[in-house]
Amino acid sequence: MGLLTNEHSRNRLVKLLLAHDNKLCCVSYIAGVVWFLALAYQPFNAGTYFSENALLPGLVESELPPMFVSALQIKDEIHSEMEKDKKKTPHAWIYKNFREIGLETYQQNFSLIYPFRSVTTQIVTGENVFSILRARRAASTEALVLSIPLRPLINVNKERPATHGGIALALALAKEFKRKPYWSKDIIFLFSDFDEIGTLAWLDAYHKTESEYIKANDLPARSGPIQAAVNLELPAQDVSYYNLLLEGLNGQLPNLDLVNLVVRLCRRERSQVAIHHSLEKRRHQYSDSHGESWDDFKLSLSTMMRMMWYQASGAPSGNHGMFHKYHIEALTVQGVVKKKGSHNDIITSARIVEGVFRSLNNLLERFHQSFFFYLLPATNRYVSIGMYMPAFGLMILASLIKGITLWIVCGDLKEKRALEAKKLKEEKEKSKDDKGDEKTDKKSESEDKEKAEVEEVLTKVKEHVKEESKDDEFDDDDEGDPNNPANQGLISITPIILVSLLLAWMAHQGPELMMRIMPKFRIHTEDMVIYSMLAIFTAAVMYPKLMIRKSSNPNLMIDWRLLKSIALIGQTLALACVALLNISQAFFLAAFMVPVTCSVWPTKSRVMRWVQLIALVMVSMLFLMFVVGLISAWPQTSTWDLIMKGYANTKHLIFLGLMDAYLFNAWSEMIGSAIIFPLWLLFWAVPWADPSF
Amino acid sequence: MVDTGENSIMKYTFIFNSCILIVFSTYVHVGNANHDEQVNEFFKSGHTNNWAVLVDASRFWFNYRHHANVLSLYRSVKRLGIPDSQIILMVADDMACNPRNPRPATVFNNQNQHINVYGDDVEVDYRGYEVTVENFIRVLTGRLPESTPRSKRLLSDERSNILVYMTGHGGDGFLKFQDAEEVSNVELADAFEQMWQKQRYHELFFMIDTCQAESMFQKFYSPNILAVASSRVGEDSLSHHVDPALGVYVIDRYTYYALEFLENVKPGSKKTMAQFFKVCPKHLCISTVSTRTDLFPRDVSHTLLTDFFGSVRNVELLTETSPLSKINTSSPTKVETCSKDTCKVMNKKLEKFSYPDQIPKILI
Repeated sequence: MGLLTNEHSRNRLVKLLLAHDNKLCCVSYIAGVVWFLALAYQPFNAGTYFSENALLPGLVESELPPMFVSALQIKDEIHSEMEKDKKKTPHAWIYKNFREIGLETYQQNFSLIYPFRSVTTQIVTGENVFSILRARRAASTEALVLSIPLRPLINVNKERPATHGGIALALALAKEFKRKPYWSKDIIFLFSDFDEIGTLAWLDAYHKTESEYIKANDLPARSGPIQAAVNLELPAQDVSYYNLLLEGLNGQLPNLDLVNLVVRLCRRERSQVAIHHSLEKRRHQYSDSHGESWDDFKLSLSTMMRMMWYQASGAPSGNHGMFHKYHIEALTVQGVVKKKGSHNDIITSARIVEGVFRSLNNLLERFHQSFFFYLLPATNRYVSIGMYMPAFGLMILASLIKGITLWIVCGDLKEKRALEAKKLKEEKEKSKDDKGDEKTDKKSESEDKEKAEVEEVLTKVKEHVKEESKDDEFDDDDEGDPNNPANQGLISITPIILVSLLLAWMAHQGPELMMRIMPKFRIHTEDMVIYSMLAIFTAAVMYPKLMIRKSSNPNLMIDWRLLKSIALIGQTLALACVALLNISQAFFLAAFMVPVTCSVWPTKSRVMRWVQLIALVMVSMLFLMFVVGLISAWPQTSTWDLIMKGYANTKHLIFLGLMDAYLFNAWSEMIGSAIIFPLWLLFWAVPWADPSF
Repeated sequence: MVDTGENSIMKYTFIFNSCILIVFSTYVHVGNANHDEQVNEFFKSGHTNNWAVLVDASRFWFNYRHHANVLSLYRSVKRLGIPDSQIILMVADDMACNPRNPRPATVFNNQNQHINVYGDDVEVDYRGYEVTVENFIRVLTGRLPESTPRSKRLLSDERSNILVYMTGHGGDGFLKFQDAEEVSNVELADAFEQMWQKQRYHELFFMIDTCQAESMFQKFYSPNILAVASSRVGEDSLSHHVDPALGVYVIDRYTYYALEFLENVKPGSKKTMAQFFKVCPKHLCISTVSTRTDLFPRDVSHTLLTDFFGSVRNVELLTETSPLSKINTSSPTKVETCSKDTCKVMNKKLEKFSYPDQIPKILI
């Protein structure tokens, strides 16, 4: 108590802060980064456990027939069906077969209105097929969803693998599930077109909400609120391991209990399961210890980094991301085929899915017991928000310390300058008084002479005017004088803040405005987006030059300490807010931005100024996106190839980010352009400022 | 001389007859004493009727084993003689008809699914959301609203032996009732004290199978209570095994071994409570079974199991007759009236209470 209220000790604390602020900043930032990365080391994180008692995971034995012959037959059928027309998806086949089992099956049409439409753009239509298995002895008060994205064979690639094994599995499981009396929730089998867009259309219609660009028809029938969803992407061949994708929209993650459930059931069937293709050595999957070697740490760190990589983009890594918008816990299970070592056939997959659904059947409430904010360094280890927040807090503490220090220094300087100004004013008044006495004497003399020497008076007046003009020259010099009150305080930096906000608004709205003129130029949409962004960026970096007044001083006359202090505190707040929602995004932004923005300062030397400007450009949003593109393109044969592919990736990523913002209401684009960009622009003004302040 | 011979024969016969008479009379006297002893033994345990209050304080599918616990005990107690009219069964009853039950309308307590403990003759007195702490305490203390049917009342008297069995989720000093409330050990002790003061039990056997069960009987202070708990404070009571066909744990360890013991008990069995306390050693139960015997006046190794678990209706066939004393029914009872001043004095005279005799005077 006494530390902060006692004037004496408060002064001591402040003095300590001022004396060591640079050291504190460095130490805090480095400690934060090292601590955050060290959380992947096994002794620093915790093993996963089940918080929801009702789940009873894996206790019940599978009731599927041991040789699930029907699944294998259906798999062959669907494969031949899809081979018939590689461009289409087998809607009619699915509809017919589900009806034949006896389940309520429906179709839903939806259309996608392209956000950047012109006269020639068509409206794309799609069709979802879904089937509801009603629980025999329950009242349809809750539902579970098994979602399978429909992909035509020509669209299949490494990022979006084939899913027709999943279709066969769903049909076979539906036949089995229908015969059982122990379902307490309805099971909905959803087959969606166009991946996330179809899923969002179905969910919109289910919950009776509307999207701006996705128009969905009403659903002919529905069930109760959805408690959980599993998105299945299984190819028809035997699978080597199961890859889990967790990240949803805006960095949301499913409840950790659901993840643990899927991992436990995969292990029960002795199948390998991985987070983002990060395979663990066999022995680690069944033991919690032995994770303390350097190799283990590298593997854990790479898994955690991969998860953060996907989470930081704010884009969903699979269809399950759409369920997160409605607070429905969902994840994606992908089957990965490798050339050798694949022995998990469709029967194993069916048992895993059946086990997951039997456990979900036991639930009485929605998932609420386990963590919603976490990072996974392995399938059986987790880092919770309580573990990573202090580390992140240390990272942005550096920015906060610097901001507070600058604020205090600013205040001190203001007092000093006020004192100086007072002294100067006193001196000026003294000299003025003297001059004023002379003037009055002269005037009285002329009055006494009754205009005898009118010319004398005139000359005197001219002298007086010259002296006045001398004062004016003195006032001209004021513009370049740090002591001029117009160059101090909030008044001096308000224009900069307003300009940066204006430029941010332009960056946010710019691409859409540019899109209106796109058709006339006949350029590819992605190119147009990136050209518009580059144009706005280039215009934005010019603004300090435009704000320098035409005077002797070539630098910006602003109170740069106040500006930097406000910008740093703003940056701390912005990064803290982002961290609460999407920790990975905040971590990467903080890791790159904080060291550079804390250390910009105005210098006289041209070299240092250019170094600072280049460093600032390297942490700007566009450059960071370019780095992301380069890393995605890694590895390539030659450097030039890498740069080209990186540039192509960057264009694609920015375009997708924009589309996500329009279609799904993703926030990454807004955070980048409307929150981080104006803060960056404030820092951009600092190297241009006058160092004599 | 012949006269003396006849005299001596008569003398000898007389002596002989008197000897026989003496012997015979002593024999008869001894026989009478045995008979009295037999009659006394008839009323040795002190109780005349048995009641059982069986409570399962939890609900939901994943608490299947608590349900199975209490229903298995219900079966045993019924088999040993306590009728449904003297059993209060409080259970949430959401297992048999739960949509998640793969075998609808059944509850099993064993993986082999031999016995369906939820047969067709289970009478549940308090079901569903009626199993609350308030209802439980009201049943014990008898403070129920007038409209409560007889099947929901514990109509015990001062000669009743009551078995109270509780199972569910417990902690240090409390037992969780149906996810929304809890009963504390202090409350339970006070409820038993109320029962004692209202003379609602003769002897009470308290059996509890939850985690940290010992804490529930630590606060008892009423006489004639015998208690056994499945675990100590700080220990968890564990479940016994999973039924993979159902996907739940079907029974708890302590109750499983207790039931195993009770299966071998027949209505006339002479097994004692001391043997019952040894039923689950640590290597089987993993938690430590603890007991409370300080409030119980009798020796547990001489207390029959059927004193609490069964309702033994003793029938002894006596070939002798027992004399009954005459009851004076001629004198009319004096109706005393009092006025405002003398009522207090009269009431004071009538206030002397005493416990009724062990053996009713009517039989002596």
